Amino acid sequence: MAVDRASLTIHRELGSGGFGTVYEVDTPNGLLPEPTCAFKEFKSPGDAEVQNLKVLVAHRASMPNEDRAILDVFTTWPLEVVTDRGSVVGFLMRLVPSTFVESSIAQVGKTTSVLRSIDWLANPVHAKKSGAKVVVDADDIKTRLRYCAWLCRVVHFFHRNEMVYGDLSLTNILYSDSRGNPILVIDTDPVRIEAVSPPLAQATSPGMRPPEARGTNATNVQNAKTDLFKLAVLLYNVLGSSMRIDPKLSALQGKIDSTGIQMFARALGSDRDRRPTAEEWYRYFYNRYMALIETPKITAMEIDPPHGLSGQSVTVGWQVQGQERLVLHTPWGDVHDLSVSAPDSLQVTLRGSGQFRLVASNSNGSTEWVSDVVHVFTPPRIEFLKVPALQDVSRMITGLDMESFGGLLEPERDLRWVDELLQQVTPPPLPEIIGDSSLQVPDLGSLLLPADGLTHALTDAMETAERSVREKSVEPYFRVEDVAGQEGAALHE
Amino acid sequence: MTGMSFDIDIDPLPRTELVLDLPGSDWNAELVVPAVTVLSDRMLAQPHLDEVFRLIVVRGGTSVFDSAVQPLDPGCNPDVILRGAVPRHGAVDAIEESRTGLTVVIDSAERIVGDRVGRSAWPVLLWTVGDRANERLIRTHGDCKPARTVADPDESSDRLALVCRQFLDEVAMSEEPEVHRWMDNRLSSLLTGMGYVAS
Repeated sequence: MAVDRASLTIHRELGSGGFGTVYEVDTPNGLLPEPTCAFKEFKSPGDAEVQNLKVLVAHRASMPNEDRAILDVFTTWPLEVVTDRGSVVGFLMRLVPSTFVESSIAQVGKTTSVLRSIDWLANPVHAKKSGAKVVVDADDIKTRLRYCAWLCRVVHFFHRNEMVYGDLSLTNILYSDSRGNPILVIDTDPVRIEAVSPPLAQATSPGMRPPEARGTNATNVQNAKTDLFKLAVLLYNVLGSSMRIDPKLSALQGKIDSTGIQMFARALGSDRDRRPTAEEWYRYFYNRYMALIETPKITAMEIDPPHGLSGQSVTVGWQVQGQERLVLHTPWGDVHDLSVSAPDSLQVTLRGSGQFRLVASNSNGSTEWVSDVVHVFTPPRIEFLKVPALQDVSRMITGLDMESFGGLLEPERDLRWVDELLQQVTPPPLPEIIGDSSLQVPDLGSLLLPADGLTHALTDAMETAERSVREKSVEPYFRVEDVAGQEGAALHE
Repeated sequence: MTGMSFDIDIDPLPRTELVLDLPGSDWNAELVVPAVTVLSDRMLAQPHLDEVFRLIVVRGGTSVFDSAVQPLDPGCNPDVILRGAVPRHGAVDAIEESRTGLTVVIDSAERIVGDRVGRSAWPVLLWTVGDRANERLIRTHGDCKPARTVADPDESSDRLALVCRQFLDEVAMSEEPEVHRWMDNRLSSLLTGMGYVAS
């Protein structure tokens, strides 16, 4: 039911600006439990603003009691429109509680009261310098995570109720040191209800314009996705205590883990479909906050591949929660002090056998995890010799399977053979009696070229080569162009 | 992930500059101090202005205050600002350039010279004071060629403070600050009753 402006008892002006003026007035019957409320009177409202105001009031009235109670606690939502001679001139809303006001901010020669917007949370040095009562240090990440979680919870509530906030900004969200309701969203009259509100231009604050609202194909219509972009900017401002965002997300490094960093990268990118929802953010911040108030947990650690050759690169991966510091100790004594925001894996070059040790710590204590033993082998040293072409023995049977032998020598090949060998570290006991019929020795002799035969073949090949050299009267050194299996392997100068 | 770059798409935060240029070696305290006080109070009460707004005071051709490298402290008296006594932190070279700005040149109509206007990187609002400000308004405007010239023989400090405050609210805090549009659309209403010439 609209309230007639003439029936309002105005106590004082609370503020004014381009939009109009806000007054403190007596609360009309039963609108709120508090004796006074705020009356925002527009300077010159447009038709869309007036229509939207009616939509917002009706939307609140249609909400389930539980949701309406949440809306009233966490916002200064329009409760009722105010009319003057039948025309809407403004609306009534709750007053901002004193817990969201900084009452003694230093000025030139005096102090003043200001709304405690998250602007102050993003600038702790300025807040401290100006005499703010609630100052959250830049490195107090737990408290900042808590505010972020609450902010995401409120934005999720909006989106669940089809509300598009629009001008999410540092000055439209207030915070208090209250445990129960630390966030208050103000300036809600330009909020749109999806599919219900009339077309309404919603503002954007400096540095908050989403990618889809820029460029030649820009759209000015805001929606939950644009809210999510702006939300990510605010979360960055609050967590990083910084207004300027760079591609390295520098202000967040060392403050949140790699999962959070990846979420910010998605949220601040141009693909709006990849932006985390407010609910995803809420769950992340809640879980991260909870993890930080307990001892860190390491739930997995894996070396891939589990064994290898000296000098080979392996990936050490882990799953950790609640760490403020992470250190990886290698079996050969190296210590990698990893950033909180580092990825959950690290490439290392094997230098010795042993166990990796991962230590995660925070203000509540430390946890460590020791890996399985990693066996590191030194590959055989291969010396390459210059030899003349072995024309006549190029197809000689050596008894070695070159395909599988090559696999053993090349590190990038499958190294499961190391595991298989390790399973046979303890050899089976030999039978006591050599003549035991259970001892089966394979007859390899028939498969191999006899040693004498091999010697003769090599001698023949060398003599043939020498003859060829003498006949052609050329220098005794040649390069081998083609040997492998070619009948006519040629020697060239 | 330290050192790794991400494919983010952020609109750079625009910074808007307001230059108060006082050509004489002295300054007209009654006129200038209220404007500097208004700006100081706003900057102290709104922390995000540190990033989007830059106040520069030039006196006698020398920069005596730059909020980007001389952060205001509570209780910082405007006299201290105008005297150039606010301590510096950091180098001006390291500061990202402002996207746009306005230079307000404040001087006597008899003394003002055009080169102050020509040297400004931003549109200039020439604020002339002195008994003959109205009389010399057109000529001064023609000689110096600023974007706007105002004659203020009464040295009405509230008007200058109002212009500065509105510039801060309506341009510096705008997502797309446009000084020329603001001058075209808003400035004249702030100067009602004063001698005023626009190019």
